[in-house]
Amino acid sequence: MTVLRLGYVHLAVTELASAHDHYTDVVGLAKSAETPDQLYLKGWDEWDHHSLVLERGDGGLLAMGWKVRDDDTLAKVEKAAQQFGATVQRLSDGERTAVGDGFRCVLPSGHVAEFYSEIETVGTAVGNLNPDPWPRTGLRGVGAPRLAHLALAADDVAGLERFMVEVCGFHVTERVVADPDNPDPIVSFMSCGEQAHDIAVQKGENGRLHHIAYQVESWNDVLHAADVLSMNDVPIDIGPTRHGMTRGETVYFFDPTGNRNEVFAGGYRSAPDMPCITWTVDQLGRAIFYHDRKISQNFLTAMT
Amino acid sequence: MIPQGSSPGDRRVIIAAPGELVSGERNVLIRRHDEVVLDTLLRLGWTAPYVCRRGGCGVCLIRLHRGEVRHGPHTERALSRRAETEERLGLACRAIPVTSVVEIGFCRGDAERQTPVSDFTRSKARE
Repeated sequence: MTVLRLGYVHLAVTELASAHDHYTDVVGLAKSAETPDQLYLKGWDEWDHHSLVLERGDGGLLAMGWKVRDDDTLAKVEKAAQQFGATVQRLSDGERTAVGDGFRCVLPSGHVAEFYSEIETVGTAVGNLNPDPWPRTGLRGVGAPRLAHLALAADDVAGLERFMVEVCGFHVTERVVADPDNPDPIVSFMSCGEQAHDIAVQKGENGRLHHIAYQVESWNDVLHAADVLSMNDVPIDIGPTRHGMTRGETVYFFDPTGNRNEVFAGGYRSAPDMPCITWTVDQLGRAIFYHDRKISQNFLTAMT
Repeated sequence: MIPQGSSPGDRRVIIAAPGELVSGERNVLIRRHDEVVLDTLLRLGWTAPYVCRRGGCGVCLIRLHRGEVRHGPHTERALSRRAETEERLGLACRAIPVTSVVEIGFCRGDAERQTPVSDFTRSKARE
């Protein structure tokens, strides 16, 4: 295992105040730090300092942070990125709030990825000595425990897939292809651990963010999340429903900037030796939304 | 960005302030105070192209044929300042009319009248 997990996403938002209210009161994250231009937030079951950075800007993804196991692994990934042809920029301890040494590189899709092995530890809301199963007080809104994955658009899906597999050690769990004999992906889901996906990539305009997703425990929690969204007049995109891909349960909605969020439950366990699951594009509707079985152009094309 | 299968809309809709008399026009909708254009349409049983309702995706792009609007927060990518001022484009989800009458058309599809609210309430009253 090279990359441990998606450590953080760094989003641009048009207004910090409304974004703060959305991600704390509705999604249920807790604020761990703030500067005049940035907010740092985490879920109650995350121990690292933050999993979301909000910064004033024009919407979309400014960077994604991948946490790797240790400094040796960090050096290996950096070397592999350079060999792949990516331009690498060193980041030193403290250059990013709470995050240690690392590097930044621009992926073949134009997205910015940051890699690091150390970040300040804050601890989960229940601690790690004889913990309660969930926090007794203080949970708000959806009460999202943790960041789950993110989904991006790329003009060359295969190119980004190759980077994630060859440089970062991900395994491909599912693909959508034009026909089964042609493995060139239109959509690719990749995992760095046992999740069904840590990153999803679909054919589209380089640099765009499709969504960021928060993990909840159960289908009932997805329903509860959707209730919270309606109570707060948050625009729901689609759901609650089930995905064909990953088998996860889902509801999609928008933050005050129009960045798409997802609350996600379930999904199978994956492993590097698991054969890739293939969907043909004529079944794309079912692959994305298993019950509706319709292809939503808006879902596929509206991005920040 | 533009959803496949839709053509630039040519249906025009007039959004009028409460109490404003607009005669001899079709598709006149009466707005509420400080209501964005999209909400007036949806409240009155219309639909239109939109996705995020937060000024981020640009799907609800409109052309302003008459009157003036002011915009709530939106990304520059969804609606640039130049497009707003020079081309008189707007975002239905963030545009609040500031003149008593505005006339708009959607750029990425058409506004469509769904079940008329008046018909619905009449049929309910008969039960």
